[in-house]
Amino acid sequence: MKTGDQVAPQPSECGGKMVVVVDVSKSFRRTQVLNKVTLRVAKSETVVIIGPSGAGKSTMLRCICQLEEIDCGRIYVDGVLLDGRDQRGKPMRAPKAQLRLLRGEIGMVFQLFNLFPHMSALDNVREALVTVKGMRRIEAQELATAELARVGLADKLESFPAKLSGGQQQRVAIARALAMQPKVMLFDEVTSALDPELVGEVLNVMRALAADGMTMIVVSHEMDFARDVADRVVFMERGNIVEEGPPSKIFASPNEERTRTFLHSVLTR
Amino acid sequence: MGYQWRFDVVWKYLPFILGGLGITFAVSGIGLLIGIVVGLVVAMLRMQRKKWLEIPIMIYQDFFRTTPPLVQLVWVYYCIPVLGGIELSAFWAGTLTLGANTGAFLGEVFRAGLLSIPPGQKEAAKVLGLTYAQTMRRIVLPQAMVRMLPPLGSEVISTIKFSSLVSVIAVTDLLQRAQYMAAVTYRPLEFLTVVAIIYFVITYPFSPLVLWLQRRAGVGDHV
Repeated sequence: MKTGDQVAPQPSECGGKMVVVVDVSKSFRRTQVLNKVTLRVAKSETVVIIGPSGAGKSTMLRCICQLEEIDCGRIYVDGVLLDGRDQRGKPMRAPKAQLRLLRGEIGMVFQLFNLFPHMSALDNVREALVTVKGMRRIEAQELATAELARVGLADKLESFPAKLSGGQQQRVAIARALAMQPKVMLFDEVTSALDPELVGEVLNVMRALAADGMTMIVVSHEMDFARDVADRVVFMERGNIVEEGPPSKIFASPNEERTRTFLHSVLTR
Repeated sequence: MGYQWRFDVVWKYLPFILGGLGITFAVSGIGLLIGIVVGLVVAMLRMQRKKWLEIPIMIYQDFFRTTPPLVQLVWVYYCIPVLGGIELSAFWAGTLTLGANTGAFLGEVFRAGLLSIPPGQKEAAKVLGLTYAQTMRRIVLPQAMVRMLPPLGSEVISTIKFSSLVSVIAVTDLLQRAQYMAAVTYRPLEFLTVVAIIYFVITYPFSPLVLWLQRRAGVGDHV
């Protein structure tokens, strides 16, 4: 690789997949969080990533949505190179302005919702449509209303986050990401901060999304959800993908001893 | 033997004293404006966490926060012409000193306010594609401002009171005019008392104003 050159996307490496993560490493100070991880996700596929805390699951999502810069490897979404580093860590990626426009195409939903507390549900969803996409306010309002209706919150348009339950807040956050018409949705332990009785309403929204053909990467501790909805389950541990496969295989007869130990510990709680 | 208060003397010269209000408002208003802009820039630059930016800014802030404002004022008015060869009028020397002083304090107020916003807010804005400027203007500052209102209100009051120091370098503000009349009429107690009341009347409304603004902005905020 020539130093500093910008490298054209290499669609051959993507093989028509929607999200492609190749040999990605990431460390924080001395701690290696991702260790040459490779993951390919097809269009409309739902991948659920499971594993113990500290496995690098969240970091992987944060790298894909460009909240973290990777140390080396390459990340593509829909054939576009979002972040890439050669062996020596030299960046080789799309220009910044282009990257920002691509951000909306990667929907990210956080564990702690991260709604804007000074805005109503409607304004939370409308904000980026106006400031980023440059939509007219009326147009943005229509789209935002439709997205909130889609997650079952048509009657909460004017409510502020503090007046909503955790489950409702998380659904607003999903609507906010969906309004940007993303090509892929990333879910980072989105039900972990919810009271148990509120988990179902969020998972149902995600089920419907998967059924609609959305490409999804879900980090979750909800094993039932993984079993029902995932096309593929990925087990990560210590920055590595240990094993992946269809849920029927992973849950019934995993190849790796470590996968078995992990599943045993979470399923017999 | 009791002191014979003679407020009628003050009453007679009240129009003359109040003629200094314009200067007082100009010095504190412009000083405050400079202070807010400087404070915001200082706070945002320090948030970048770059050593070469942070160190000079901290020296500036520490200088103005650890030395008496009166000394700063005299220093700027008398020393800068000698050292830098730049002539400043008394009015601008006073106003700029006040602005720099206020900026140093507000820098800390704003920084604390910005730091109090959870990082998840910036991350949410970033993944939606907002630029840094949009994130600040639409997401972070509106929330931080509400939290910064009480210390900001105190700083406004301080700035208005500090503006009276310019009387020392012969800017004809409220206090300077009152001191002049006090000297002429030998009635310092009366004039200073009345000046104190005038400052109270100007600055007091900021307390209920802050409370009102907070309550208004509190709609829909975290509880």
